[in-house]
Amino acid sequence: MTTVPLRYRIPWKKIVVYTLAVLFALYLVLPFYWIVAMSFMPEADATAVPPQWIPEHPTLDNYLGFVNPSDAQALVGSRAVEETPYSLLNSFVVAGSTALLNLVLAIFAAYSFSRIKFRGSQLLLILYLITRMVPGIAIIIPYYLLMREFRLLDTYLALILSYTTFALPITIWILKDFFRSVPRELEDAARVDRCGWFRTMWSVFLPVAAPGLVAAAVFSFMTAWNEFMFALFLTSTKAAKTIPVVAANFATDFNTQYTVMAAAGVLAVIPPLVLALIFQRKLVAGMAAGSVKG
Amino acid sequence: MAEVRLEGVTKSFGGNTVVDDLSLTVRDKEFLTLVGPSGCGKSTTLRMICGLERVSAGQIYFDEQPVEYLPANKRDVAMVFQSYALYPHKTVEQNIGFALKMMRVPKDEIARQVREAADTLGIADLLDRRPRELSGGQRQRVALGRAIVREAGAYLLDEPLSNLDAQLRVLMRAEIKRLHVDLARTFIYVTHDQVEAMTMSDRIVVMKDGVVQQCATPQEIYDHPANRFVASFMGSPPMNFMEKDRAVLGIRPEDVSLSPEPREGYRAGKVFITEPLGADVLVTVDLDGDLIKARVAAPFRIGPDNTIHIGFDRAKMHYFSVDDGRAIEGDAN
Repeated sequence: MTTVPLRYRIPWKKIVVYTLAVLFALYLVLPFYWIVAMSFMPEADATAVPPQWIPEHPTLDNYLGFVNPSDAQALVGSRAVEETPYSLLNSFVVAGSTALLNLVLAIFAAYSFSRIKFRGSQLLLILYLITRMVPGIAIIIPYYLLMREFRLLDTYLALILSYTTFALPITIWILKDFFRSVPRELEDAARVDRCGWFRTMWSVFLPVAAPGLVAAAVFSFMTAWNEFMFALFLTSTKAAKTIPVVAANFATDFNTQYTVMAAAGVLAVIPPLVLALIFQRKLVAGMAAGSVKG
Repeated sequence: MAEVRLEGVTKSFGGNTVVDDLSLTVRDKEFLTLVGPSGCGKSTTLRMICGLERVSAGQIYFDEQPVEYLPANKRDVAMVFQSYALYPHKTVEQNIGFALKMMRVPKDEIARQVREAADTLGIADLLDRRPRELSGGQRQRVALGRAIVREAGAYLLDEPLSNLDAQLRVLMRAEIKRLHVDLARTFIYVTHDQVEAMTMSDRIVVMKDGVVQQCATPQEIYDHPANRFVASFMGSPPMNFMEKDRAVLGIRPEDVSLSPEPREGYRAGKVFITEPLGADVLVTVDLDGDLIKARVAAPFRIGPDNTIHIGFDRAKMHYFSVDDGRAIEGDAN
């Protein structure tokens, strides 16, 4: 009788996959970590060679500067420091309103596309997408003039309207696919259970479609939160300036306050991060459903 | 307390007529079953009765009141859906109580009625669960609970057992029938399963291609099928047919007898195959090229290709027209 020696096989495939995964995770996480670490450093440490991965002289000064702008260490960028808290609020109002308005409009549109057969519906959907193909830079000047004509420059409304037009086509697409996956019989059951159309939507359809709604809302919130060019053109004071515009002001031709800029960056990331964490589970379900059901 | 009357009801989708000129009266407290192969228009008929589908022509009356202009939420009906259509985000209790909540019944009254319905269906311990935590049979009961919790004029059931396994189906069949006795309400039941139709109904409506083929009691349909389609659709295994002198002869497998010895009036054939069913054996006999099924008492020990003598109970023969399949009166029975 021969015995086959038990040979330990090196799982190369696993090793390669995991190594690549770790490298990719580092690629994603390290820049973010560096921003966070830097936001707790004095300016001198941030530019030290070799870099300090863990702040040796941790400080909250970069953050305190936003609370009390007159203490800001540098002259350059101090206006940006002063505007940061306002711009965070502006961003929040603009992104929140965009998400809400966008969702309400998209729900009606997506419901129609998912439930009603009508001539040209496919063409209309494609048309929506085409509007997203036009580069913003191509229309920004007429758009600016239009907003000036409407006396909407430097207002929330200008930004909310712009961002809603950007986000709406994609949101309709996301929701349309999601709504199609909601069984029609659920609506029938609600009708038989004595619900009118609005009640059916409110009590049955929308709760069942909640993961899709969350995905759509987070998507439009992020779109609005990150947008730079329209905000740059359409706003000029802290009345409506959003955080990407203000963050850009930290970098000047002569000097750049890395640590304060990093602190502003961290503050800018917190709201979308918190949103994503809160809705994590629904978000994943929403993305998955939208992607599988084409 | 509702009599449901359909008068010349027609439904077309595009140019396609799914239900054609259907007239029917469902009596108060009756258990009426619409049965037929898939696509025969039975589910569409049910959906028109409950208002989820508009009629293309004709009128529907509840207790002599026309209801066609009423949307589903204003008609006095409750429905059980084939897929159950339970609200996935609500608990069993909320699912069952939802219609009552919509009717603005006070909260403690809802709780009481939900508890009562749950007790009737044996699901009182599941009230806090959500549909995804339930088995198929439990979901089915919740779907029934959602219907019986309120006092509706008519209860509409759209293939409620088709998603259950065979064993559970037999069990629930009896429970639904008992529920009908206890509630004493009008039940309109849709199924493609002729056994369900035969066992549960006061009357059966057999449909094909949107047209009613026969509407009668189960026994009447079994004994006197109006045409060849009804004869073949109702009864398991289906009726045997043989063409004979410009007529089609039909005989049910249970009215065929077999003998190993030649007998008067019997004809010789060959055993094609035997299928034991427990108490009975289903024997397929090759009779001059026609395959005839006979249902005889077990045991049956003659193997394939052996000669067998086959006899038909003359009193139970049915004759149908070769042209349109209609029963030829006088000959049957």
